[in-house]
Amino acid sequence: MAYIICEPCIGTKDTACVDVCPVDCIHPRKDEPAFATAEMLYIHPDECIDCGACVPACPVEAIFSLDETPQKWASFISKNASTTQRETSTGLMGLIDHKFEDNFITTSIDRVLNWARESSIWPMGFGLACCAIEMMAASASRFDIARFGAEVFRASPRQSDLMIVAGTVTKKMAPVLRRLYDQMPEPKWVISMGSCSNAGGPFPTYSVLQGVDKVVPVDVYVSGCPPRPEALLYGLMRLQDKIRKEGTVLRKERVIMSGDTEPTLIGERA
Amino acid sequence: MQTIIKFLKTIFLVDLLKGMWLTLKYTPQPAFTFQYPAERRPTAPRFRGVLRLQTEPGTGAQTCIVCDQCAKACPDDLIALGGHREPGQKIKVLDYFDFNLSRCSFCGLCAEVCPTKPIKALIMSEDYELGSYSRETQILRVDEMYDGVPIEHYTH
Repeated sequence: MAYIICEPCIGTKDTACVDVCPVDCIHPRKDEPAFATAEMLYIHPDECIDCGACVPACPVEAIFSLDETPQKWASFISKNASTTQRETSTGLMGLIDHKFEDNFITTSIDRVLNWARESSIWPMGFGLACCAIEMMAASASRFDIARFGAEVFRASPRQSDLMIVAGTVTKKMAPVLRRLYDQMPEPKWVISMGSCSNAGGPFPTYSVLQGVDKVVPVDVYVSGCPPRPEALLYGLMRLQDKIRKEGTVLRKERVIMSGDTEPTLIGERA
Repeated sequence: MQTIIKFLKTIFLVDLLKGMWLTLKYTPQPAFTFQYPAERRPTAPRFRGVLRLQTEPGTGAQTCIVCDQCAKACPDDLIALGGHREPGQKIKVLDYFDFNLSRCSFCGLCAEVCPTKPIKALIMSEDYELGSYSRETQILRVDEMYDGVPIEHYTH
């Protein structure tokens, strides 16, 4: 969400909005060198706090919120974003905001760190229900999770990188589980194993948490009831794949679904 | 006499050698470990994997008759399907088949009640490799119901 400056501003450049903006998100300002050449002003979408103070200040009514931007001026939405971001990323702030591009050094360090991380994911020895039996089978010699470097089931969350939520999470267990997760040091990952921890499984009741992603961010969901050991190994490989793509030096954002809402079947689509 | 035997056993490390012999006996045997991504364990004939819609072999025609029996049989209401009737055709055409994998307990009731013959439209396939990054991808649409969930193949 942000506010957008549209066509009426072209040639006007009144700067009344710049004066009222509490966070100085409207560029270019009068003291900036680009002010003389710019044809209109733009709002930086990341800096804008959606206060709306600039809307009544504008003498030509060029500022709209993102939702109320007229259709004819829809192109100004991307224009506001692209123009302002190019300006800031060239300066020192761009470096501090980690907006510079990947280069040889950072990507090489990333690769080494990610290799180390993906090849020694230590899970927490922590099972809640029947899925834990399959988890034990996966760690035993027949399936041998040690081949993926994840054999050390740690007794303490302080020493583990991965939480395998194997089983039904009751609402009484949920705060404990969250506490264990909080005790794990970064970087940490979560595999949700089985239907119960994925979405509550066959227990849509008052006492069962409907999906562990309501309390902890889940990286990989492994479906099954319970998933066979191979499926857990497959989930682990998917997680390794994910870790390999993570940025460590550049601290790329990890995209994790919050899971506030359960996706519903579209029955009425036809 | 007992003391001498015990002493000699201790000197020549008999118990240790006994134990080592057992270890040595198992060493030439092939490893018990199943090299999962490289080799796949065959599933049991009655194994229940993820749901799959079948087409007529050869022609590839739709076998599902949109009778809604599977949706009614599901104990957790995870299946939603619908179709429409083409004029002049007896069979209904399947429009959508949504299956919520995330809650499924693989009980197999839906495949059991599927009345289509001789090719069953809805079967429990042998796919068990189900790992996804989000909840949204756990809703299988009609394309994935026909082709199966895409599986990443890891080789290293």
